[in-house]
Amino acid sequence: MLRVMRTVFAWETLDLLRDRRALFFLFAVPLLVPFLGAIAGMFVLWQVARQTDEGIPIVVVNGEQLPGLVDRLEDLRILELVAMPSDPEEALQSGELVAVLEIPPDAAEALEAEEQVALNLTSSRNGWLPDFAVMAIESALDDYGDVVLTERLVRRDLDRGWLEPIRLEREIAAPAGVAAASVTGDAFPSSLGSVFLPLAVASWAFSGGLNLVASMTVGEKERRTMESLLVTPASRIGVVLGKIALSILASAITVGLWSLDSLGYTFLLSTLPAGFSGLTSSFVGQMGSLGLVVVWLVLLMLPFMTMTNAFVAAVCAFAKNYRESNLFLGVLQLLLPGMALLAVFGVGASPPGAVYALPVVGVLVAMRDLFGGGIAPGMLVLAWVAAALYAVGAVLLAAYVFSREWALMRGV
Amino acid sequence: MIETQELTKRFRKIVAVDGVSFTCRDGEVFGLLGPNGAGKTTLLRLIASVLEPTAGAALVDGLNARKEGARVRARVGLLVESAGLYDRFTPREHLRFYGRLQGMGGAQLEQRVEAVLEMLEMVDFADRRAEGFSAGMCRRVVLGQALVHDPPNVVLDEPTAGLDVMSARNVRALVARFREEGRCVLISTHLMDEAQRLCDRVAIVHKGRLQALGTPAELVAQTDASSLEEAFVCIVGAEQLRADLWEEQRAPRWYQFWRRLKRSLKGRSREQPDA
Repeated sequence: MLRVMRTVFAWETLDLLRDRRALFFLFAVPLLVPFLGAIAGMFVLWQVARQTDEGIPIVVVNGEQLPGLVDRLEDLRILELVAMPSDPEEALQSGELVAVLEIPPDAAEALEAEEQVALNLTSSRNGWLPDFAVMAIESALDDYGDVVLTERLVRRDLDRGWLEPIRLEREIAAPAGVAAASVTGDAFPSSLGSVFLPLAVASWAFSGGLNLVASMTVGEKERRTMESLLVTPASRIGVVLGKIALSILASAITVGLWSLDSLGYTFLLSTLPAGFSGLTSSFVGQMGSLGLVVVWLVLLMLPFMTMTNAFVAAVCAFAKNYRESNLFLGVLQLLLPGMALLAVFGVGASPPGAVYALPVVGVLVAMRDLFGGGIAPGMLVLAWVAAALYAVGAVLLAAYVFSREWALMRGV
Repeated sequence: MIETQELTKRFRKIVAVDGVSFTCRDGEVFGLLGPNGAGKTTLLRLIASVLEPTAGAALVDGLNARKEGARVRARVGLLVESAGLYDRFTPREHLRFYGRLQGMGGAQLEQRVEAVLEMLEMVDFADRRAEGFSAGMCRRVVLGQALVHDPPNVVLDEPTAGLDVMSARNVRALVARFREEGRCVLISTHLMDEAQRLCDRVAIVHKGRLQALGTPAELVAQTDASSLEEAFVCIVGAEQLRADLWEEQRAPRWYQFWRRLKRSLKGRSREQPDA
């Protein structure tokens, strides 16, 4: 059986390697997307760098009133403080000037009197540069305002606690021993991981091998090679296992590539300057523990992918032709993301153990909890064992369907 | 040797093969004749253990096709009538793949692949991908797949269908060679001329049943016909009439009345223009 499996695996692998269209959708798309993203990102960074060198031209009116604020604005390399042009409105419209920050002429006195000072900011509508300028000015204002506030509090013998009478301190309680919080750390962008990851894994695992499995099973009927295959004494279980093995490998590579893309983007986002990295600011600090999460993720994904691919193989082996298999797969394509949504939003926190043993939902809930609230080690193992058993069941189902004449001879 | 004993195959309500028994000896070319849908292909699939019989048995060299399917398939080379090819592979790769699935490998497989390529005159296009092959080229590759493991029993479903004159002649020569080599050759065809020239014995199959069995000369003599084709028409036509009558007698009374009414109405409408 192993010999047959190896022969079929090698044959299907060669077929896949020669199928440029399939290769493109399976592997080139995930490789191209970050490449295109990188080009776009580099273009944006180049534009930012160019402006940083030259500086985005802004005018500060009455700057002598708040020298501390002007110092902070000058410290920001992205801004260039220029003299007031003769016609500021025209300069703003032409893009020669990006923003005008107007400080009231009595701002220093007002601050001394502990009053509120209202500054006026006028910016142009010239592309995305004004947004960068406004963000930089706001950041300098926040910084300066903080200093002024601290001075006022000190003058009145008060501290920052006086301004915030109630403060929320948040902790994530992971179940004793293992999982989420202790693995990922409570600063991991858990909302992203716990919501999008199960959905994405469900889609990737399914889409990665779907067309490949269809081509390897119902495709045999379409190109009328099925009977030639059945005429050989080769073990039919060996044949189906060889086909499933390749689809799992292709799915794993596709999922791996997409996952690397995601990690790469998250890493890139986290390295951007303050103000751009709000979502993932803590990600880099978590890279060490991320390895453990990836191990768990792979452990959960492998039986999940085996199950989906084997199930698709069983369905496609039964189908008469591509048209019929597309009908079956259309239902599955709706069902799987539906189950992923159910797993993410429909199942409450700390569900009973039986939920982790459910097909499809169990693994997805485990993934959600791994990146979200946390999961007990026993439950993680339960989810994995259940997923592995379902995977074995799906492979047996595929092997059963592939050895039945009522399935194989449909449409032949 | 191939032997069938009361071989029967039902697909739900349809009886595709109905109690067929015959023996095809080693060194003999045995022809299965029958109109389209007679059950010839199903019969060949049952013998090659692709399908499981509903009743009866198919024996290949004494091995039961149902119980020892893999061993039977190793001893049979089945040329499938409507088989296709993998577009992205060459004929040489096809033969290697099917040889490996037959359990062959190494130098033995390579030698056999070369021999089959030469035997079927495929050397010229042996390393060209199958995409765009003509029907005749495809047929030769599929025949090669069936013969790559050098089977003692060769089952050919419409072996010359889609082939040009020269290729068809070569296949007929090949069949004659198989007979000389002592192989058991079972051929399904609806070409009477081919059957008369190639087959030592023929069986006429109609509606899943064996209607007649014997040498072409015996069948011609039995029916007082001048050729095998006439004998075939005589046997199949008589059986068709018998089957229609039988069906009519079995039908409910209202259906018999409806058929009579329809027939008389048809007759009247044909008469009217003359009237």
